[in-house]
Amino acid sequence: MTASSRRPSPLVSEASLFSYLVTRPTGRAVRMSIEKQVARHDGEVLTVLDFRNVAVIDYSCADEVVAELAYLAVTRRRSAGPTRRFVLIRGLEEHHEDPIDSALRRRALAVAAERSDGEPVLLGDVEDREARLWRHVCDHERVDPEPLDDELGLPAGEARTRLEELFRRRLVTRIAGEYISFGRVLVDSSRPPS
Amino acid sequence: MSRVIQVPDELNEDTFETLIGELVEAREGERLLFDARHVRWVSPYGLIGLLAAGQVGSDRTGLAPAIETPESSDVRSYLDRMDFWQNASSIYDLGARPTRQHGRSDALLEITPIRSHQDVHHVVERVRERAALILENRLHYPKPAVIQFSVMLSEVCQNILEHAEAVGWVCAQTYYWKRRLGRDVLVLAVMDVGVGFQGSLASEHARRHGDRWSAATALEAAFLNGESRFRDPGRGQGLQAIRKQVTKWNGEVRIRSGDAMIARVPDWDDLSPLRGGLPFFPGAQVLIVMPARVEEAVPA
Repeated sequence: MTASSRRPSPLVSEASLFSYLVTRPTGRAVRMSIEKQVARHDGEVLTVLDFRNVAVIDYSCADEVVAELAYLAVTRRRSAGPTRRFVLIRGLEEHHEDPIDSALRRRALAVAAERSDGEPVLLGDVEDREARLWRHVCDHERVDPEPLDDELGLPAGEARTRLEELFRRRLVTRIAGEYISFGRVLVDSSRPPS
Repeated sequence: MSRVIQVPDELNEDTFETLIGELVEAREGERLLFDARHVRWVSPYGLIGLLAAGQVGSDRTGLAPAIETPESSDVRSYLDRMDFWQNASSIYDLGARPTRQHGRSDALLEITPIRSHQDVHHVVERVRERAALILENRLHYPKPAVIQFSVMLSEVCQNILEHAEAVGWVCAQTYYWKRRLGRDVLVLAVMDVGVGFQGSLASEHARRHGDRWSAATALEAAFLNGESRFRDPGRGQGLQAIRKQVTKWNGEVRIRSGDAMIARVPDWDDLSPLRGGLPFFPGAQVLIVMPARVEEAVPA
């Protein structure tokens, strides 16, 4: 696992995973290692789970790693702002999807992911309108809620309410009133500090 | 005192019931002799069923049972190749039976004991290459099925560790089901002789079911509703996922526990989806059958 702290928020922490993510104890060990890595940082952290080399993930491991991390990210919301956690899956293949999606749905959670071809996708318990708005944020990278009501034909203030819900579910981040996609966060984190 | 347990000539998931029916009468202090001389054919379920029956016989009598070796050279050879004797040595009194060297079997998975999560890892990693060959070339399944099979194998083996609180065994073999289906099938058998579904789920679910609580209701709760002995909502996914996957493959999954059995029955079988009143047998016994895919006729 590596972490970089070039930008104040959120910091990107990349987690490499085992090829065979099977059994609960394995999942628990992987999650605890990730939590330990993240716990070193006080600010906002985006944990990137790199699935490129994961040959197999079973339902138990999907629950212990992805669903637990997503649960911890969401339930941490009442804590002080600077300790917010986000999760992004990268390198997602078709065979990873069902165990992860199923584990998240059982807990009414969702996680942002990026397929191996770069396509963004939400996994878990997500309504169509949430997915559409989230995709809008991904496509535009940064979204100001004010003009969005008109753009999407929504009642005044509705876009902000819905974006805030995505933020509450830790599917986007929020910086200075704008809602930011994780794709944008990754791009920013890879730039050298100015 | 000794008691002879007659092993059926064909030992499979159906005749296993006859075998364990004979065990019901076994009493403490009796020496059991499993007479397998006339066995002509054994399925993977029958194979580990013989281990499970021996273990239960040993637990009931307090004495390691003896076993008469099959007279059929084919059956003896199969038992050797599937590592039956190696696993039986901790259950049966085999005397001074010499360990025979044998080549690699053509089975997907020889009998493998499941005692720890490391064993589950070992099994999943070990079958990958062979599963790819069998599922793609022999059963004509698409590539993702190999991974889905690995996931299913992992979950069903973990079920032993999470719920049985006892050792279990797994094995898998592909063969031609001439009579029942006229097609190749992959058969996966997993067994333990632990607390069973009723015992495992009792603390969390028995009260809610009241007088209706039984092995059959426990199986329904776990297999159909994804209920688990844990309150954690993330638990109980494994069996649900297996049922869903086997349904996609038009396969069969049956789980026997206590005195009941529940099944996902495909259109090619006429098994009852839920049965009670079977001879009591501890733990859980799982059978999964994946039939070869049949190419759909292309309209002219």
